[in-house]
Amino acid sequence: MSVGHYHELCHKYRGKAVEIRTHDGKTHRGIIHHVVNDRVILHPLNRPSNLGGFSYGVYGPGYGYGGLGWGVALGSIATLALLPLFFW
Amino acid sequence: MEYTYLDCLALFGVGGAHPGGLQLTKDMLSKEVIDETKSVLDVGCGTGQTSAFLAKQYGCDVTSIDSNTIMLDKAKKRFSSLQLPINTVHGSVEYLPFDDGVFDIILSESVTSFTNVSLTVPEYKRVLKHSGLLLAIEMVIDKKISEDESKPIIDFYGISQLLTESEWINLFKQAGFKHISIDTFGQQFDENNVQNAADFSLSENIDEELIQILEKHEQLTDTYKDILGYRIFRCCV
Repeated sequence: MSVGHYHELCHKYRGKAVEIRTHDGKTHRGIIHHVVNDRVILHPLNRPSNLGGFSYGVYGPGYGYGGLGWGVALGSIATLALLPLFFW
Repeated sequence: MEYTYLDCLALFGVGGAHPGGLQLTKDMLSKEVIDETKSVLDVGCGTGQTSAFLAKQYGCDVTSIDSNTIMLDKAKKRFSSLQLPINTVHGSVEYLPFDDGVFDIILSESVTSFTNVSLTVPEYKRVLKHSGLLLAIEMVIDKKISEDESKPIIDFYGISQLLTESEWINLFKQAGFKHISIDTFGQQFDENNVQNAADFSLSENIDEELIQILEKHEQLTDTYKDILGYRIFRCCV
């Protein structure tokens, strides 16, 4: 899917919890804060120790931790889905 | 600081924090007659998602009460940004700060379960009109479990009791509700339906401990998925 598609989807899902899988096989779980240029900024829902999750301070290609949250390049997204979080 | 599950909901600002989310709320309300003549009390309104929907969709008179000031502030922000004339009240549902017989409908979306039910349920009855209706989506245990089994749930969620369906019904009857019917919600989570997904209005600083609480909650929900369920109780005065 195109960057434009994910741009639109991320905008629609603002304030929702999502799981994003990137082309390098990593999984990012977080709440969509906003979309800026070619990145979606997430508030991470994984702790740093989680395998395959966010690792703070390590800037890989396509994503990194900025001042406001965790940025994932829209072009690196393979799949994006709303998380079925259940609350009492 | 030691955070509780409810602190976690408040700081993450989870909207629609009840089983079934906003979709269930909409389905449930669509079966009722609600118009601008009706006065509705949303107990434990949280970030005000349901209250806002009620006011917008039905034009009814909405009062929203919550004991958590973080939640209530987020609800107030939501209402003012949508320019909805909703009356917000800070208070406990165990001691409702309202006169007798003033509301047509009370909504409790996974709120009563978190309170002392022996206080809360009679309070609902008291503030409802003679023709009043209580709609409550509440946590239910599907079978009686031992204290050892229930302790982790009770401790984590900070609740005082776990009730079976028939215990809930007895409680409503004892408080004076005459007709009680039960509904379930068959719809599965649809990952393309935004209505189904909780919305978040995060506080500025989210402590890492809160993420751990969310994880613990997910684990517990999974571990007890065959025991912990919910029902929609429709109780007429």
